Amino acid sequence: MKKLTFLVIFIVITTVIISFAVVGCKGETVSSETITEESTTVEETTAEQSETTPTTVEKTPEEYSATITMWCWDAATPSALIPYFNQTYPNIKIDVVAIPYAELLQKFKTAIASGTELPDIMWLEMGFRGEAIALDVWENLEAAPYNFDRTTVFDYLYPFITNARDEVVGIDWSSTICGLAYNRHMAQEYFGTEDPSEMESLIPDWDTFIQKGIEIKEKSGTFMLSTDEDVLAFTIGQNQNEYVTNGTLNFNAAIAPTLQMVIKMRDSGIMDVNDMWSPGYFASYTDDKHMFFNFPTWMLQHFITQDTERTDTWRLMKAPGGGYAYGGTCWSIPQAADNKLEAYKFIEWYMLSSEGSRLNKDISGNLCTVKTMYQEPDFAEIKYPQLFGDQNLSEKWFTDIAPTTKVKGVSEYDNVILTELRAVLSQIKVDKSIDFNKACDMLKEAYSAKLPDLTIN
Amino acid sequence: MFALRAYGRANKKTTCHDKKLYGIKRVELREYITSEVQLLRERKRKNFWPYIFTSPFLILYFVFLLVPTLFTIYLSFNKWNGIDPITFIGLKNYIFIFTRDPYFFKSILNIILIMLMYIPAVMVLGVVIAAAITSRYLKWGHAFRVISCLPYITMSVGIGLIFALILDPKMGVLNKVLLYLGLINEEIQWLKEPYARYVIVVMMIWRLLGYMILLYSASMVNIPVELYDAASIDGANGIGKFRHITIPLVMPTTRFLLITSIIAGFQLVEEPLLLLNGWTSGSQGGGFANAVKSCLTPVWYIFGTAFGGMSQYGTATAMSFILFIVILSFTMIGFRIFKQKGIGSNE
Amino acid sequence: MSNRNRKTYLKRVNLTISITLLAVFISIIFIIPFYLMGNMATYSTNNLYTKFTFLPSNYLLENLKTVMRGMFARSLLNSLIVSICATFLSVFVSALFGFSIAKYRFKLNKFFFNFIIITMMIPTSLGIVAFVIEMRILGMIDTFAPLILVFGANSYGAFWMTQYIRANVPTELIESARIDGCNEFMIFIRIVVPLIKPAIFTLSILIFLWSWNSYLLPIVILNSQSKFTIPITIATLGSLYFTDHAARVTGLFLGIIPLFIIFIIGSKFFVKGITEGAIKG
Repeated sequence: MKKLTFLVIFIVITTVIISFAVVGCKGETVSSETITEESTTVEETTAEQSETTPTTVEKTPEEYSATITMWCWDAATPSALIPYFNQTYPNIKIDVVAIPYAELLQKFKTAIASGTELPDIMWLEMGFRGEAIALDVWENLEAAPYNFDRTTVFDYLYPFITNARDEVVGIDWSSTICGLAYNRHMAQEYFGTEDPSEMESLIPDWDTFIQKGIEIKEKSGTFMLSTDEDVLAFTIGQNQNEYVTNGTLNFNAAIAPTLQMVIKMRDSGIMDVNDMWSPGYFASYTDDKHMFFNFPTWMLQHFITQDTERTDTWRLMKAPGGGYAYGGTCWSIPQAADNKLEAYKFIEWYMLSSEGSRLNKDISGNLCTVKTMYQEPDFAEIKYPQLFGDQNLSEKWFTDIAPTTKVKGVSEYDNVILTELRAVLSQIKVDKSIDFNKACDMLKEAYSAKLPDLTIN
Repeated sequence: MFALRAYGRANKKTTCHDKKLYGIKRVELREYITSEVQLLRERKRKNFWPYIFTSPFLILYFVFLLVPTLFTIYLSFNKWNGIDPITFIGLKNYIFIFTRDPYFFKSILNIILIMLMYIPAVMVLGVVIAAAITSRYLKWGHAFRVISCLPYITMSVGIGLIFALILDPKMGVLNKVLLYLGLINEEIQWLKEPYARYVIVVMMIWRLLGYMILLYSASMVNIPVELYDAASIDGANGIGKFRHITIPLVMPTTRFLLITSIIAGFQLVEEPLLLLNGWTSGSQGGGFANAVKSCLTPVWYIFGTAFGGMSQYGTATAMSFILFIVILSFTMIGFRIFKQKGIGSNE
Repeated sequence: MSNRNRKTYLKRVNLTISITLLAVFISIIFIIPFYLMGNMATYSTNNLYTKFTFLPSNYLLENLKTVMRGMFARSLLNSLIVSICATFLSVFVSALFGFSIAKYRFKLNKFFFNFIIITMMIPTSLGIVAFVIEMRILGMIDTFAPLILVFGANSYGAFWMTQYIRANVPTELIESARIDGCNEFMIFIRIVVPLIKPAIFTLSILIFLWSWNSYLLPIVILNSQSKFTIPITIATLGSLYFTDHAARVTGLFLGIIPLFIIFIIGSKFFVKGITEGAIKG
């Protein structure tokens, strides 16, 4: 009996000690992981710019040798290109680990907090880009030995890929410029033209858009827009006001306009209430009841799979108010990773090199962010006849829209702000009794709960 | 010593000639002592077995679950977002929850309402159906038991997908059927106010029924058939037998199911989350974007606070602790309903 | 006499028919969502939203191919390993624990019982960071060990066993075995275990199920793609911008099938346990 009580006491004490030790040494674990690399590469001393081709650095491609880990949510797309990569860099093996998107950031944060191994490449999607960058654990890709030159990629991207110290910490794997795609038959019927430039001059701003929309709705019951998420995309995208400055949440300047626009569109009846990505939303591509769709470059895949029975139904125009961006994924390298230079070689080849960009376009449909590629005529001609007929999409996106696109920077608050905003929108879009003031109150209440440290203006 | 004396007196050994101690012959004393020691030894032997039997569970628990729990409690007095150092702030988290947080207590109310709707329903249905299966009235009852468990064994992701597909306002099967039958004129937004709460209740009943049936069956098989036969002879009909034999004899299972359903019910998060977030795989880590305000459950909100954007582990763990107190209170009420003298009394 | 018999006979037939009809009706309600799910697996994602009807389409093979591409067979094996080990461990540990709480009087009896009930009420998912740190110290990151061992301490299982043993194992039986000179462990194996077969099978099914569907823990503990379990593999079919919903549903459907088989097998033993238990000696 005595022996057993002693045993029990012993176990309890050990556990208590372990738990305190565990909690106590959490602070050390992060720093202990940023040890000097055991990377097998030669010390890089060259200050030469790494251009789009890999052969201008000191080491030959064959000499880079490592196995790099990449955490992503879509293993199939990069895996399709890895064999090509290995033709140039035969000794860099890539271990692609697919984690479900919704858990990716959490797994990463847990790994940091618990001191377990970090990947060499981490995917950061716009949904959590701001928060991830604010973690401040990323390699500066403009510094040696990577020497990334930011002028290689489109200017509008800079706020998306730089951290608070204006260092580039990631490179986007595709451009996400948005225009409005419209059903050209409907355009012909209601606007008298289907040409994008003429459409753009006929609809110079959103108020005109709404007005025309009301007329069209009365005539035939056709909606201008299928989902409120599209409205969110362009109102937020075109709004240059930062969400948070100096501890104040700029509610009226940065967020209220979106609420207002959604309510306006709801009350005028031109906006349908499908949830984005729901079956109803996909069906609206082809039901001839919706005319305009928010169209970033990556939307092509969806239209291709859903709109299969017609040809040449769509045209792309610049949205009233100018270009904006929606979505996007960049690849970043954690400071605590083991094989950083090899990881960068992969990123470089994949997104910045001519070979990688072409393969991306042909195999995965991703359009790279390198300016110079769009000056090459065969690359720059992007046509999808079964959807857009003869229109050259790259011209529209990259020559027409991209230069005028301005975006605001990402911040750690983005995720929370947009999540709550979407929650409120999903309620007010179906409930017509909620007016603008009530919606603002609902949203402010949510923000005061989730962001208690900010004052709301 | 008193025992020895009594032993001695009982045996009336009082002669002075034999070497006596306290009026007892030494031989008898020795016999007495050895027999007592033997008894003690047996009791000791019996009494360390339970400790051995319980030790695997306890060791595993201490190693795998105690540490996270202690850490959780510790965190509730701190402020931490997962990356910065943990800073001690005392009771600030709790004060915040009680004064400024608009959602937490609402969510507790939500879950209580939802539980009040589905727990009694599914338990009653469960015991009735289980009785029907194990009785001789239902053929192929065995098959039915298997079918009814299908919802429970499916991953929540699948359930969420299926229901989101069925309940989609425009393309969903349910609305299409209702429109076709002319029962409604316009699509019903099932996943928004005010229907969402009832959708969740229905889904929970659908999901849990098989589980209830399974567990009730397990305890019903041990009811001797002779009891039922005897009752039939005495003239009892089916319902009477059910009320007076079956129900009392499965009371332990009922108690178990009620207690565990309350505890698990308070921690409900998967079903509502997957139902209401069905299509948006894009919400990062437990965001309660589509949570209709009447459906937000406490653990959902806690997850959102801990793992969504701007993680606040301190607040989240403080909320879990408060939730734990709430669950504890309700559980104790539950035990009292069954006329227990507090948790853990024997039957 | 024969009239009365006939009346009761008819009454019983009526009752049987009506209950059977009710059961069939309820079964249909249960099966419909799964039929729909299986149906979804036969469509391609293109048509999934626009052309979905009650009749199956022809895309099943393609979807199967997509699913198989994603290391499905490997994760199936992993899930099986984890679940089978977790089930054996948990049932054994819970039964031992339940037996000692239910049938022995010792000092900490009540305390342990309250203890497991209280542990059920604490959501431990928030302690995940501490858990991962601990696993790192123990060197168990990226192994199956934490996934299996964490089910050993399953409070629901222990509680279920405790109350089942209390209700269904007569103390007299144990006492008489003790008098006959059995030691405690033999009592457990020879007497208690046969008596609680239904509970064992029930708990096995449940633990298998819970460990199979476990999602968050494997994501955080495992780092190698080759060790991932089924739920993770299914969740990563397709990408963010283009979720192959049809393939995902196919994967889900395939993921349920092993569970379903285990369940049917378990149920068969269950029925056997019923008939055995009814002829108690």
